[in-house]
Amino acid sequence: MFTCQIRYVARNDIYLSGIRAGLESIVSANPGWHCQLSPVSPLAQEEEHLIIIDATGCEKPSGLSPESVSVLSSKHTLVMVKAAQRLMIKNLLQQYRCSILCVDELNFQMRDIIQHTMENKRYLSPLIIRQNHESALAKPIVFTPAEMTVLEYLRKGCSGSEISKLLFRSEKTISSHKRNIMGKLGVRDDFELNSKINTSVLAS
Amino acid sequence: MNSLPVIILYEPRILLRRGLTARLQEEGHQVVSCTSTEQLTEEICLQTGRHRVLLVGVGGLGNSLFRILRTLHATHKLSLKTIVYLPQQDGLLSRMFMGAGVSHCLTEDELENRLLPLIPGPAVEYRRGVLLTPSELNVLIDYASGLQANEIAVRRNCSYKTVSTIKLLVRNRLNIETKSSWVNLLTHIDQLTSLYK
Repeated sequence: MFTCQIRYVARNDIYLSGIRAGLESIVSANPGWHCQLSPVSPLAQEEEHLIIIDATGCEKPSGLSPESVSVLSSKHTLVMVKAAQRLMIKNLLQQYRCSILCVDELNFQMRDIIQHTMENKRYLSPLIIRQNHESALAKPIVFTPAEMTVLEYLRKGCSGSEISKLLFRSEKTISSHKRNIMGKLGVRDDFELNSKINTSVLAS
Repeated sequence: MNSLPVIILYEPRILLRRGLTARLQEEGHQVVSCTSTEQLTEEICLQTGRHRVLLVGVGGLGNSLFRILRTLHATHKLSLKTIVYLPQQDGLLSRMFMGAGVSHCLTEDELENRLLPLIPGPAVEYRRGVLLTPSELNVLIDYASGLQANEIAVRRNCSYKTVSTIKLLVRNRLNIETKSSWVNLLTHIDQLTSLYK
């Protein structure tokens, strides 16, 4: 007979129902197992096996509530993030030791998560591992101050001539800054440039 | 006789699928969860006397996004209410889905509060002017999959001028004024489709 104590800090009830349904299927497959899912409270008597934190609405780990931040370094903590929160994922991977689950995962086993936390290992879901791998491969790119300025405006969606008016430079100057940026990022056209500067966390 | 509508759910992501199914069943809805696009087509074509609502999670579609867009576009004449939810607030993408014949466009965070009130009620009437025509949808999908105007022209067996005219029509229809928002739309679609590659 084993009871797994799980506590959560929830934001979105639907993710929580998903977790609950996952746990129920484990419990039904393993007789003798029990799961107790309850909200995090400072009054809790028993020690918990897993703390689940929903971070899908925050930009940075510091945006979480203080009691969540205090447990981020524990390996018994599981943080749920969306795949689009690249900055959050990067910070969590580098600064904390918590397990990370991407809610956009097509398939995962709740069982794996519990097993990893029981063995004091860090659980990272496949999408997170892939993102981590990609960012490790990427070489740091150095931009000049002028290129940084142009990059900021490009990210906002300005066209070359608009930037030239805003910065009081000729269109050719801006164009050449933009060409240099594109060369450094290794992209061919506007579409690739746009997807590169919007998906990567560079310079932010 | 159960008067609540049947919900056809297409959500490839396991966490949301389980969560939504559990939530909707608590409310007494019958949920049919589809795992493949073929099964989805089958469910949509099934003739039952009851109201049906099609619920699609956009964030997990990946490569099947274009197929789902076509499915949604093909179903706008059936008595079927379609609701999609995006990973985050995105005006461009929601306009595109409206153009493809979707009745309501939500975000994942809004699901909890706004989904249940939307489910009852009849399907929205055909709205003139908002819906993309089949050729507009084709060209939009071709552009989104990374083709250039002359490649599309060869593929669709028409002049590149026709292609760029249709592109202009798409932009008018979806209210995309600047080139940068057009590129943004394509980038957002690319992000959705490349997530699971």
